[in-house]
Amino acid sequence: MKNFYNRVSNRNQRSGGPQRSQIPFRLNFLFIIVALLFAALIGQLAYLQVMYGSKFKAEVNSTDTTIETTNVQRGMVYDSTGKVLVGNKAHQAISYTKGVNVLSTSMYDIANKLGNYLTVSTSSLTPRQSIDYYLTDQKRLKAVESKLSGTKGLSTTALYNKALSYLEDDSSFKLTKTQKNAAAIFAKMSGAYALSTTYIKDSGVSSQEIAEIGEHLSEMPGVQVGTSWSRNYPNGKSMNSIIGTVSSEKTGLPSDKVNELLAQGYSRNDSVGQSYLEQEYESVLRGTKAEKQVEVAGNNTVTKEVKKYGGQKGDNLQLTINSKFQSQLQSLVKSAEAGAGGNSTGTYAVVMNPNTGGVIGMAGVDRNPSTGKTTDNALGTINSDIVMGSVVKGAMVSGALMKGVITPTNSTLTDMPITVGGVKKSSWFNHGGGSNIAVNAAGALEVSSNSYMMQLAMKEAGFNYSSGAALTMSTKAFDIERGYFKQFGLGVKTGIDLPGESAGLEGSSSFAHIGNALDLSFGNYDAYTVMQVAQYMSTIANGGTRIAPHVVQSIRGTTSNGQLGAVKSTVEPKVLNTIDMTTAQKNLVKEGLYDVVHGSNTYKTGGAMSSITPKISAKTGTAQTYYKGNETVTLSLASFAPSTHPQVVVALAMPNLGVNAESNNMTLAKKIYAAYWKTVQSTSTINQ
Amino acid sequence: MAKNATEQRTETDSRIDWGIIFCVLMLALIGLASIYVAATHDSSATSITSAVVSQLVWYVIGTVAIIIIMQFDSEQLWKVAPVLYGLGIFLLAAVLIFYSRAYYINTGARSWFAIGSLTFQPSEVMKPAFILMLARVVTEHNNQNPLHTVRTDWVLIGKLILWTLPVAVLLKLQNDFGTMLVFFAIVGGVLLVSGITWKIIAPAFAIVGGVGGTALALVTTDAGRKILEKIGFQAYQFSRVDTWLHPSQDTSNNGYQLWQSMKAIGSGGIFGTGFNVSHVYVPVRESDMIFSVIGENFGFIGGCILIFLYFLLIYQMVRVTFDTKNVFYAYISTGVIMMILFHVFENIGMSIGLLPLTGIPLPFVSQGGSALIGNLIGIGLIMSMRYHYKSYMFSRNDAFK
Repeated sequence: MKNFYNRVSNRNQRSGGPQRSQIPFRLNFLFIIVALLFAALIGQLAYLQVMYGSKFKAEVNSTDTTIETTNVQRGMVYDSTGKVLVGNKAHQAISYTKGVNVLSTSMYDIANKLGNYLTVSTSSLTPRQSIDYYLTDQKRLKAVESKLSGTKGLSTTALYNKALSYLEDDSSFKLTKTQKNAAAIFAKMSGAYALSTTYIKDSGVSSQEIAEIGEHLSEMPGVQVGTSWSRNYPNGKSMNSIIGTVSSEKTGLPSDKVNELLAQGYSRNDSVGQSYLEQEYESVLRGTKAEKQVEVAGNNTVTKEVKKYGGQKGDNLQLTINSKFQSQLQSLVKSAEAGAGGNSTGTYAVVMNPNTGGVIGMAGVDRNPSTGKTTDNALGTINSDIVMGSVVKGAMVSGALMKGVITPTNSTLTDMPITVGGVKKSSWFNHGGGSNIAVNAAGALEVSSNSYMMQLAMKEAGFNYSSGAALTMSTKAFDIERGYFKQFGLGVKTGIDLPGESAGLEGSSSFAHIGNALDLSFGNYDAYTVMQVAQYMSTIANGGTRIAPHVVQSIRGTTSNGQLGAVKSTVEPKVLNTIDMTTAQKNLVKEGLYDVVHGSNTYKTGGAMSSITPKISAKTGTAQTYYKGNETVTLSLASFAPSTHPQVVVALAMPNLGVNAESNNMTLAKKIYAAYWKTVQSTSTINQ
Repeated sequence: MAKNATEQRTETDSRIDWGIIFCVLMLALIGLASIYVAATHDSSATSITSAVVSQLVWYVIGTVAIIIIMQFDSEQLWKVAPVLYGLGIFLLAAVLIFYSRAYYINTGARSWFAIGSLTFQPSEVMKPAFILMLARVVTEHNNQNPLHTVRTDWVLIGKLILWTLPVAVLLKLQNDFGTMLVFFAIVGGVLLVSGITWKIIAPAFAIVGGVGGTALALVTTDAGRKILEKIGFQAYQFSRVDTWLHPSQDTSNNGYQLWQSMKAIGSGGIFGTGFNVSHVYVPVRESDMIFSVIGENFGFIGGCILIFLYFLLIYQMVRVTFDTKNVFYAYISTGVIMMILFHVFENIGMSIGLLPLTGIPLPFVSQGGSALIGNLIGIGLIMSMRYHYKSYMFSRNDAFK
């Protein structure tokens, strides 16, 4: 047993002379390094476990539980009489709830199994989804990868992408019908978020499919047989332009609001109101999702499920709109428009309760003059700006009374043509100045005197009129007139509970346009919506309170048998402002509006409506307008009934009629009142 | 007769290093328990028993390997070193062609042979062969150049680089950066003990520190990353560094594993959650992330005990080296110490966020046959020193020469 090594060393010793070996010192040095490195480990370990142990413990406990949510039925929409406008149709549905860290391979197995019993639409299956499905099978993936070249040093992801693009270019790659079906299911499962439920098939599930899946449910973890809902409209879709739409599970959350909605706890495939009432009352209609607290252990198995909240169907909306009357109104408006022809751009009408602001009906038709095509657009009543004409005179007179330029006892002025800076403006009956008559405020409304209104405007602005002189009036005139108009709702948003309302359009207020300040006084300059006109007339009718119109009357629950339940909250009239006028002043204006229909002056403008019962007070309007350079006439009307204690306001506008149109507005108003007293309210309920 | 036999046995007993056996046995027990915990809590395809039993089987195979290696004395080891080295290089080259495709897809490294369910990573058993070869090269060199000068030291360094180069190239081709680092650590340790003058070592330390610092500075800046990409670093290596520097920042993708591991270990606190109580899921905790199990279940105390066991093991190895006073052995044991040290430091270090993630197992504890066999062969080399030490007790020198 001669040590080879000693022999070598001994020889060295002899030849090289004694030299102290470095090894003991170097080994000790190495040993010190070992000790230092281990000390570093223990140091970091102490930092993690001793100093921050409790923090990590808290972190671990906090991530242990997750909330699993399930969708609930959306609230329904009823009309004022309790008729269902928007309901929910239940469908048998197959849903899938993804667990925590479910492997794609196990989803692949479930998809294949489920595909045996369930047929889904494969029309929206993308090639990429087909390939993802195909490659989830490891054997196929390997087979495809073996065909690839240049895979050296690629990461798993890069390799997968390469396999993907290989199959994308491979024209012979095609799934069988069965595989396609499973691929569509797999795609839906993959798209789901952990612990949230997605529908694999939400309509048209056959009873055979339900039965077969039910039998094999235990083999397919996460798959459930349940119910899905879609919106349906049992009384037709005529009111859809007011009610709006919801996003479907397929389209997902609206992309422009997706982050905001996710933050509010929506899932990506939830239904959410996209427009109008569905959007405005989303928080009421959506209901509260069922919540299940799921405890997940460290190994990702669900250890405990606690039902925290059973979920609550969304609350129902009851509208102030009477759907039967609404459809009558819509067809009246439509037939009025049908007879208009020419350059007519539409007809719009609003019927509302002046005391509550509740909208009973709102209807509109848009017309394209070049094609003659008409489309229903009830929202035209809140978003179409129209130069209304003389209907605004009630607000003008009220403003002058409030300003004090006229008083109930001293309001008489002479109607005469107004000539300023070479331009003559006059009332309809007195173009030449041959019919100069003295009228008080009520009389001016009765005969619809433009001259009177212009004189009020100049008085309000402190301008002394002398015939033929230049109109050197301050541009403050615009602000003064508009200020009073706005108190009645003309030129401001009405505050209706629908999105997309217009505030109207204001003409230029520069001195170059100072002549228009006179036009403004009789409604021939700024543009307003029909809803604004209705609010203005309501404000006069109810004695000076401007109330926000609303289409939702109350929010109601659901009874156990699914019917309209108890009232949870009622929309109270929302007062926007009150008009600071004395009773005498108010009465003067009301008197004028009554005389428009029932007065004794031969020039009264609303005599054609005197036959309406109960008696109405009104103001008509005729504006000179232009459509693409052609002269047109816009007719409008604002009215309330009964004159003595108003219950209903009717406002309408018919822009761009032919120049000879005269009484279309009154004809339509008559029909609307007839329909109202027949359908909504009986005349016997009021004392005339 | 009987007395003679007893004496014989006592002599044999004293030739066996019970201290090392104790350490390895303790580590094996901790390993088996940890694998049991990992397998119990993870919904992996293999059953708990098969995970534990297969690890046990590898231990048995490793023990047989130790017994065989113990029969080799230093002269035989000296002779067999080039053969083993050549065989190892052959295997490393062969795996580039016959690598397991399934493992490659999962890990991105061509480092495994697979026959059925049996897998084998040749780079693991290459480690002891490489250590033997290095020890022989250094011994030979030092014998030819008994006086260390800067010039002869550079020649030695050149020789070691030449012997390391084939291994490094093959591992680079396998795409196994972590294992390559182990080989570098072994070379570094052997170089230190080989007696290279401080005139080289001290600047080298400085340069390594400088390069490391520069690399870190490059990785943390965009412009630097572009430069590194040109040299051949890959995006996954950058993201590992990112994860290491900011473990809690991106816990959904790359940082998930590390953050889960840190959470598991941190939540263990001082005393741990107790055996087989786990609240945090850590991916691949049966192998590379096994320390997260120990840290979570046994806390700071358990972690310290484990580190102390490794320390004790390395101490024993140093003791053997001092006792045998054999230069060749000294280099071998240095290599083995470096191998174990690097594995332990890198593995535990990465589990607790001290070092970036690499695929390096914890010696004697992590699941995985080849790594275990490689480490046990290393232990076998050390044990053979003590085993043959007595036999030439009387012919040895009194000091390392």
